[in-house]
Amino acid sequence: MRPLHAASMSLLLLLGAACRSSTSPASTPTTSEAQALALTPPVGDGAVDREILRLQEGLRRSPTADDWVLLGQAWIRKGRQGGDAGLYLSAEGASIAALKVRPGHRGALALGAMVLLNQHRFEAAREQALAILAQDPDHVPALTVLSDAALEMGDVAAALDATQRLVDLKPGLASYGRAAHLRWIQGDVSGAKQLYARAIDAGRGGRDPEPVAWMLVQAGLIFWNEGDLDGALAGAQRALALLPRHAPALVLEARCRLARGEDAKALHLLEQAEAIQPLVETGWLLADARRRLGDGPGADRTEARLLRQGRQSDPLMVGLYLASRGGEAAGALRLLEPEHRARPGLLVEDAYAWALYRAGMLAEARAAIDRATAHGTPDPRLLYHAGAIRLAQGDASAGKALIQRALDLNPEFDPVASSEARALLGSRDRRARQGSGARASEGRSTRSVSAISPAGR
Amino acid sequence: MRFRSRLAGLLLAGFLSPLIALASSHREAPAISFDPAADNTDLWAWIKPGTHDRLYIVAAYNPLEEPSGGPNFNKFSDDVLYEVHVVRGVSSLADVITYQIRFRTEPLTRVDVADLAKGPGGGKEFFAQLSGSVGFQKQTYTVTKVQGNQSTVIAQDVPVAPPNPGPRTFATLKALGFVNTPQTAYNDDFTQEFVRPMGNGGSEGTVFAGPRDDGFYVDLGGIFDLANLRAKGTAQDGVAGFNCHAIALDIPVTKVTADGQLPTTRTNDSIIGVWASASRRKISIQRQKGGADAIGPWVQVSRLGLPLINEAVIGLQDKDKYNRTTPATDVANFGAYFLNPIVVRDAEAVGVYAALGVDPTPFKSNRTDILDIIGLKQNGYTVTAVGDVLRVDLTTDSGFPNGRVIHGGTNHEDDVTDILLSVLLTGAPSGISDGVDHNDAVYIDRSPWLAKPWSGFDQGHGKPTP
Repeated sequence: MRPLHAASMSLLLLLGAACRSSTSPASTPTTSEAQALALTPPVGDGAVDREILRLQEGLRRSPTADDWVLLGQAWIRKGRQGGDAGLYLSAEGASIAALKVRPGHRGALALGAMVLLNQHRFEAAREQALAILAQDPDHVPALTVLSDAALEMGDVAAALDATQRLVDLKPGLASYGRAAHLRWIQGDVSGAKQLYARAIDAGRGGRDPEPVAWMLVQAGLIFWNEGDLDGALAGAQRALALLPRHAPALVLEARCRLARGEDAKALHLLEQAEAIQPLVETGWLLADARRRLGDGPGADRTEARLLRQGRQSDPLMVGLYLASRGGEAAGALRLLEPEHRARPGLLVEDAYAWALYRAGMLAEARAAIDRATAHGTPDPRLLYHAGAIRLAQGDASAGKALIQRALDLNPEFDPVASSEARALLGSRDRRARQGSGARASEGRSTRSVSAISPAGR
Repeated sequence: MRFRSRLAGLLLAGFLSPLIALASSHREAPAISFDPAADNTDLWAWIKPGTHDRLYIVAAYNPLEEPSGGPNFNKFSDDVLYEVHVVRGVSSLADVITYQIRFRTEPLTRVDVADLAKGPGGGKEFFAQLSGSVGFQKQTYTVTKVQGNQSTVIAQDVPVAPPNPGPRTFATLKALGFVNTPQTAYNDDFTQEFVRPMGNGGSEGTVFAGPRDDGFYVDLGGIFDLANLRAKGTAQDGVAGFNCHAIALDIPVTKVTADGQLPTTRTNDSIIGVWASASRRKISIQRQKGGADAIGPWVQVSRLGLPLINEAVIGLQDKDKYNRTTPATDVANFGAYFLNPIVVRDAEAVGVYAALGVDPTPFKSNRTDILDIIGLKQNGYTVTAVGDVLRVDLTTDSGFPNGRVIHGGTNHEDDVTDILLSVLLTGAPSGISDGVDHNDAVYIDRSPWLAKPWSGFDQGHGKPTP
């Protein structure tokens, strides 16, 4: 098992204190509690860990607001490398400690907003970013938070505005990378590639390779989504050359390997990725890979764990998983409805649409997938979902055209869904007339093509 | 309430066990990153002692480059505009001359990996030093001189000096014919092959661009441990053994004076200011209707005039603003940092003044003396345009804060860390030291002044293993 960040242990201790003092008016943690979280020794010996230790040593001697903020930023950078959620509590502790030294310190407030973002409290993050920007309209870190929170909440226009402001103020990896993603969302693949190249250039040679590795993977995903496996693989491998344990790169390479039928290689990569950063989507692919290799019991175990443990930490991906593989439309909707209320971004709209489709609520599914595809995003999964929903609604020509476009982009966009898509193109009309398909009760019979049509209407 | 109830909520929701097992995916791009290729690390500017007829400027970028940092060795960015700015006179911070340097790297050629007849070179190579037309991918640059409304290209397709991975690379590139030089090692004479003329027959001086020893010396560990200064002998040169990427200009002084003559007497115009910057392109995120992708104007992302200002004077909350603004607006934007240096309060907090038995009160606020010193009042100038530029008096030998000198042939530059710390903390130009008073390499006695880059093979920061 991976060593657990000690701040996660501090949670327990703090909770104990909170319970003891539950009759007295408790508030934000005391300075010493916040400091203790921020000063937790890091587990690891990378460059970020050394920086954390160095800052902690200085802060013990004499705490300055700036150094607390730098420490918090270092915790966030460490958090990006795949540790547990306790790392963000350490960052939050640093933010609180900085604000005690210098109330209103904008860097500390922005750090707090980044923590909120990482805790998926998007509305709160957005509000905090706006409050900082009311004081300083040119605050670069606050603009990054505003851009990210707006996108998660489905406000693409606000994300565009914030990101344009960001790149006007500070062209660099953070702004070019966000700009690239927004170009891709709008369907501009070549523009996105150019901007990712600029983002990668702007981070080259940095002591912390994670930002560039991340950008390489994002650029690789652009190639992946258009079916250019060589391009995608190159992105993943360049990222791994910089940062051999970069989980998103391991997952991207695994996707490529699965697409090429190199299932054993994919399995190995996914096992590595899951040990570093156990995300639901990693577990999902892992289950797919195990099943393809004939390890049904192993796949079932992975799947069971994913469902058991992912519901709280990542309801979006578990919801999408249930809608895509489990055939549990009702369970998927239960998870996705609150997500949809809190952050109706493109990914959530897509997952929500797919769950509605599985539940047979085609009009609602259509409305959601229309919102998800409104910007022309060239994502095969989105297009496949959009096509399948239209098909189920009886619009065969538009539906088939969308599914065909998904498969034209990347014939192997998903280990299971791409064959489902092909099957729909071949035999969909007959089943649509019959009006039968997957039921929640069919449970795991998801390998059959019938599982991918909606409940009867 | 908020925090504790959230903690309780997290636990009640069973969040703690997923902490161990399943993280929540975050799809945000990094918000915090560094841009070394566009990061000004140092600036030197001084005039030739005695004759005062040459202006030497060395602008360094890319901090703390590890010599053994292969396979992709550091380089200048083709996406960055590098600039050296010269201002003139006591009452202006507007550029009178700007030297703009743009780099271009030849693209990699695709090579069929399975074709065994193909020799070394091209995109198939793992070693960067075998992948391009000069071993390395050839990087060249153009120098454009902007003066008033006039832009003139004064050097074109100038080769960048290569990295120094080690002796085998040098010998191999020579043997394979990638490098054509009589030299047998990456030495100072080899360096001179990359010092090239600017203007007709060198009328605008010379230029060099490439990796060099990082010529700064400072106890980084001590300074950034809240000015935890150590005695000479125990202090550590935190820059020792690292490289940087430097642009060195050697310019006739007559090219930067208003009348084209060497100044012989002190006038309001016989003082110049130098600063360096790096800029990246603004881009448009909205798709442009029907047109090509809009690549916008340059936006400055880094600058440097006086040493240590961004590091030790400007607070974290204003660093982005500092980097995107120009010296002309420094007083309006950052005057408070110069007049009320934070480092004085920090030094007081950690007991520096108590240990010295000095009352810090006079050094905490209203520090017009700092502005006087960086404006060379001691040289007889009354500078009314105050900003973060390195001032150089063209009528007398340079010495920080009148310029900043690399003393070629020695291991000394002006000890700017000691001088600046002393000025900030005590108002006097000496008295405080970081305990590091010389460079780890000997500077050379001609452009590019900084010593040759440390070799990756045997001068990196790795350690032998038993």
